[in-house]
Amino acid sequence: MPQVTVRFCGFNGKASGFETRMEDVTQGASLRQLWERLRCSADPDDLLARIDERQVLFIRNGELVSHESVEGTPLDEGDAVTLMVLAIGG
Amino acid sequence: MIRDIGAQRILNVDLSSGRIWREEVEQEDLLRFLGGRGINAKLLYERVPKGVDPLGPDNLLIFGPGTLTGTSAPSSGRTSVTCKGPATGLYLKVSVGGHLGAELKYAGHDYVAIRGRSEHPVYLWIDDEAVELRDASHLWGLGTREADRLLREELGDDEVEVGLIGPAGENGVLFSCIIFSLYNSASRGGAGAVMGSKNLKALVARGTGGLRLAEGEQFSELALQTRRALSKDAGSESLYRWGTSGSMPALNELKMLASYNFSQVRIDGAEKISGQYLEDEGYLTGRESCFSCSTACHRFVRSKAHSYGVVRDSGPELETMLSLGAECGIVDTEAVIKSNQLCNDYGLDVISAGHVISWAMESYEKGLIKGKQADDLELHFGNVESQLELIRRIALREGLLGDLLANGTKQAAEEVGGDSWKWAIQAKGLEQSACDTRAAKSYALAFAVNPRGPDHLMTECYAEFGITAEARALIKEITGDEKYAVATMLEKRSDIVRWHEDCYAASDALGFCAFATTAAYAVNPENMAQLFSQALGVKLTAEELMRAGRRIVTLERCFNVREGGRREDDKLPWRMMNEPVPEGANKGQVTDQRTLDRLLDEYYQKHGWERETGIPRRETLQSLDLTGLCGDIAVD
Repeated sequence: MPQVTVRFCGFNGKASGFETRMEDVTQGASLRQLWERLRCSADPDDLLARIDERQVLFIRNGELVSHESVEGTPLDEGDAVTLMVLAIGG
Repeated sequence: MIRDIGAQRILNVDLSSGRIWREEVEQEDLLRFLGGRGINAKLLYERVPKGVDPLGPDNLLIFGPGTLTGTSAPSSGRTSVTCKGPATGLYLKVSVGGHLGAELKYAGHDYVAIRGRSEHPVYLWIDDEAVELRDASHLWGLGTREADRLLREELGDDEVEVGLIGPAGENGVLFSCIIFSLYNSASRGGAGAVMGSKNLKALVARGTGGLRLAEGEQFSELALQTRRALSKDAGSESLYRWGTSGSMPALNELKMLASYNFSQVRIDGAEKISGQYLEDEGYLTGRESCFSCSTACHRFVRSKAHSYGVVRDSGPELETMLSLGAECGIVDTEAVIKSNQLCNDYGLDVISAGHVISWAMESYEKGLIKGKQADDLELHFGNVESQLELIRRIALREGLLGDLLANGTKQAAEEVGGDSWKWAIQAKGLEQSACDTRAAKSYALAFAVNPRGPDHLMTECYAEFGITAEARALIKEITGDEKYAVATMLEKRSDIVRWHEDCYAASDALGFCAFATTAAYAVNPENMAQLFSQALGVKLTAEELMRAGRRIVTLERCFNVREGGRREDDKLPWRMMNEPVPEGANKGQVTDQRTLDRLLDEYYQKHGWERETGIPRRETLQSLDLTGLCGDIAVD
């Protein structure tokens, strides 16, 4: 089963800092499937379970993944996924 | 006094003679230029002839709140400050928040146009209709915080709104700013030096009047709807919680974070200079909004370890964290908070201040600034003590290096010589803001053609990253297909920039914050046009509003053309055009001359400007009804 690294920013009770986990994914799984599984398995009180998906920034292997592309982004062995609470402005 | 919102007035002040007089804005001009930035641009073009010294008495310094500033339209409290800029010798418009704009409106003045030079320091006191110049000798040399406090004390009113300069503006630092309402800065391009050159320390206003709207009920209903939509935008909550510096972690993760004078694209410890960290670690002490804004992205912080004394200040914003932090190799939270406080108190633009220091640090490490020229400072990247000292010396023009850097990186690099111009992160004489224009091509084009120099605050094309559904929908609206929401693409960039230019110009003219139009997207040309129409009792369509925006952009271009600005001036800092992104998903990206030429060709063609020179064609000016104003610079 492929393994991917998932880095969370803003979901571990703090707004800053990263928490890293290794996650198994099924062969051919998409980023959306991983995201849905993580949400479902999170404590209902966790931000991860409650957050509006529009407020999440998806990054795979250092590249931005738009919300519309989350469904069609396949995951492979060794991929690095980052999930961040979206922030805008500059 | 309650007055019709469309009956706009200009308060003229000649500091040389002391004469103060008022004039009406013609209704036709208000409809053509929408107000704020638009009317400012027209006044500047008409009243500041070619070749005027930006720091001489003939330059005009214009404060123009948006036409809807002072109403309940959401995030509409912005004021445009316009003059010929001392950093570039070209057109300068700066947009600033706070509450002074609304106060000026309530005092009965829609524009304040200041020329001349007082013989001694003065401040302009606007107490509704009563306007006078008062001696400011006792305030000269004081920092912005102390001067602001003394002004309130002297006037016996803590509710007055103040716009003022610090020592940097008094000393003619070419990137000095004007501070509004204590914590908002009209930063870029040296408007503070123009104010200082006039011996004008402050503009203080108290307004007890109001604005009458033509269709008040409909206006209020639409304003409320728009405010609700804005609060639901995907990014609004982050702006409230972390301000703009909430973008730091993502920029670092994506390897798009400008660091070490743009030689690198990430930095270890970036989280410590993020809005999220300020919240988590207890630095954040409060939040505030500009006039009529429900987003309230403005934050206040207090130092914790007090490494550099007890510091209470605003922000720091993203560009501050980047320019005074990562660009100088500094990820010390307390150090950036202190640097920000010093810049605000001395009245320095944080973006340029950070970039002249990071340029000096790189020049020092490469052996081009040494010995006496370094004024005994060790200017290695990451040296906080040197940075804090240098900020002070720049503001006071103290010592060889302080005086050198006070003129900006362009002049400093010319003086220091060698290859130092290659890492001077500037074009047209303005330091580029810390956005990487190698891997974001709309940004690259927008920065290159920006009349005031390369920065994001005239035309930020945030949507080209396609992060949110709203952003992708906007790109589809502009280009016909959301597939163009990819920042490294070259196709359709001129369309994206053109749309954003028009929208920014229109929103500035009405007083809207860019975060409400082009970072969050709830304020758009349709509801801006409706609100304008309901306020004034006229019929303006979204298309007409955007056309007026284009008219403003073109007029600003004409100003620069008259000053000698041409295609060859529309460029990016050397590093952006010649050194590829060193790592990450954007590795190898660069906006070289060939790429920029392609973007410029398309952009000029869409504007109706001559390809070889960038000068607007006569037919273009005719189509925008600008020939009467600036037809003399057109090419056939």
